[in-house]
Amino acid sequence: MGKRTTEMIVPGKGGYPMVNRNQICKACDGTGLLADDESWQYSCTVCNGDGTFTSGDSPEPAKPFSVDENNRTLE
Amino acid sequence: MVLNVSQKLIKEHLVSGEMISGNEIGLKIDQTLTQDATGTMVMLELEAMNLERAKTEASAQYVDHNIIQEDSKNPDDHLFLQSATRKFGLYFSRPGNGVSHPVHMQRLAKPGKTLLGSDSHTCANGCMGMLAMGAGGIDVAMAIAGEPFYVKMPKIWGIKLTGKLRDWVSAKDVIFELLRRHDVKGGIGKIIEYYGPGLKGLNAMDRHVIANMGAELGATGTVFPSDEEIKQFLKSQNREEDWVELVADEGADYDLLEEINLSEIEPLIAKPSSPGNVVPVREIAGEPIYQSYVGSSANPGYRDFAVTAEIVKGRKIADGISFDINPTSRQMLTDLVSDGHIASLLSAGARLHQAGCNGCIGMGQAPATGRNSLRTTPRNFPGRSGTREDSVFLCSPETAAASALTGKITDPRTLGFDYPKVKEPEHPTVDDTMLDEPVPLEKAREIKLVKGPNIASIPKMDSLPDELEIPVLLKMGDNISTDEILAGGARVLPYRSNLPEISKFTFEIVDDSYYERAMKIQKEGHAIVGGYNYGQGSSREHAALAPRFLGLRVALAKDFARIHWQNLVNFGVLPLTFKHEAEYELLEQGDVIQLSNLITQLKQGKELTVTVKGKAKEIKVNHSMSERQIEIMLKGGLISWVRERQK
Ligand SMILES: [Zn+2]
Repeated sequence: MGKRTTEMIVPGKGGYPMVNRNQICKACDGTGLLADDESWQYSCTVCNGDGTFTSGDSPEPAKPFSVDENNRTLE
Repeated sequence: MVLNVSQKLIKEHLVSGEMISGNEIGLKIDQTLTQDATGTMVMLELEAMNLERAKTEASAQYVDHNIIQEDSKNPDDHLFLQSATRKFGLYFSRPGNGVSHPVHMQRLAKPGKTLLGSDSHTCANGCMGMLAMGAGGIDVAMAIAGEPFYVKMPKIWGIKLTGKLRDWVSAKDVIFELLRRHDVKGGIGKIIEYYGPGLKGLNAMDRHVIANMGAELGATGTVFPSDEEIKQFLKSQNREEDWVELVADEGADYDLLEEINLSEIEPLIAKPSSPGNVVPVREIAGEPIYQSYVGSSANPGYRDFAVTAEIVKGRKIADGISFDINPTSRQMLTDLVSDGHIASLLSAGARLHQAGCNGCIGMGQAPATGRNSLRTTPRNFPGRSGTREDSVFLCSPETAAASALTGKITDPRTLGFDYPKVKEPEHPTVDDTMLDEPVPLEKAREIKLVKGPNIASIPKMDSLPDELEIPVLLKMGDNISTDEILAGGARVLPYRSNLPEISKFTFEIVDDSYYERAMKIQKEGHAIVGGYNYGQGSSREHAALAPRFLGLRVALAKDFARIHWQNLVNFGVLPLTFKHEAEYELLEQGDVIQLSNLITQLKQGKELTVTVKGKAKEIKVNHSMSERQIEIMLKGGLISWVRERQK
């Protein structure tokens, strides 16, 4: 199981990060956010909220998330 | 027997189990509440259950979350929900009528009743002397179909309120005080019950504020007594006949005891990024802000908006501040307009939004990156505002208004003028124009569900076969989350009312060939293997339902995250754990596993035998389902189980 790493993003001319389409996180589509059943948004757990994903990375989360009895994410 | 209010509510609704903390109890549910984000699935589940009519005393569907309508998907959902409420005999609260929790409190809540809602802040209606709890969509669908709700008997945590809130301090600061003391897990497995002389100074909506954010402590519910104050509230809503007194018996006991002296509370604020990160406002006063946001079910009262308006009346907000006003119900908005408060807010520089959840749930009004946003909303974990790198502080309306005036985080006591005393309207507006009543049964029978192009019925799911011979389509490691099973991202979420379509995204992050491989043997079925903590993470029923639709019959793991395990059972996927964890290594992707005499095996005990075909391997596995859950599993899941009972 590989460790997830975040590739450095070099800002483009306008100050926005340069986008590499092949590296956009499939889970959050690059937004860095996901939503639960109730529509509460939270940081994407697949890319750690970066919105990018380097090929070869394991999508497996590094650690268990903190959730309560009702599966409210506490992070 | 001497009982507190929570015990009375539970005893009155107990259908199974004993009232011993930690034991599973079954509770009769009188009322339900669904919001539109969770409601579309609930209505599709009712359709799949073949339900003729809701069996609860009152069930209401609110449209308060997805009301921006940036394309046709939201309005398609709204029309579907309206048609479903008409077909199944539910109330329908139209978009713009307001946030579910305050509207339910105003129009439908009844002391002494139970309320189950597919929204984690359903507990807010505990302010009415109700046992109100948040749950998953399928739990609420079951309750609408007349089935009990099963929960572990909580501990009852008595909180004695004494003293009286000082000027510039309000109900929000009371719940912050509890969060300051106990943090976001302090209420897990407990019902918080408030009592004592301090209650006199808290009106019904103040109690709503406190009960609402019991969810932030992780509590099963929050309960207030139904006293003279609740009687007055119901009278103001022309519903005095719905009032019954419900107070703790003299000398009633609690599992845990605590006291809050209201006179000692000062203005408090929860810093980024947790509702439990509470400090006095004065400690961080002076920090610049970008936004001040008033509204949400965590400060829904007329008072909350009126006091905000009185603080800024005749003044101007600081330059560059976005001062966002989000009314919580149309009734209240009408009164705020006629009493001149909305004019005061607008003159001061406020932006007025429609009645709904709006920015609280990240639907609009997202703050700028990294800029401080002060909000009267209940939750500030990262991203909840809709901005990835947000910096959200939670506070009272008094602190939000004071800070809007100065442009900095401000302890309202330092404003230098007298605390405005707000009077509730003597005859508040009562208007059910936008709350459609249930349609009579005869008429309801003729109603057809209105399904837009993106809404599809849940296909019929078969019962569990006695013999299974199925391939392992995926073998995964530890901590596989619901996000990896089926992510709730922008590409996927639009299909959540369309099971066949949303299923195409299942496990795509782990292995994007899974969908194709599963579909080839959808009828025969397949298994998956996971490590520890399988199915952890946020609540996502689709993470069980979609693989099931694709033919998943058995999930074999070292252990399961609790809610996902429950969802697997609910949707008819057999969750098994290794008796000897080392045997996880014996299984490989592509292996074919056999389970024989499954029905007998399940009924006879907790241990089953799995044979790996062609490898002469036998693996001992366990299940931990109750008798009730085995029955559900054999029928192929809750939907089929209820469907059969409707006959
Ligand atoms: Zn991502």
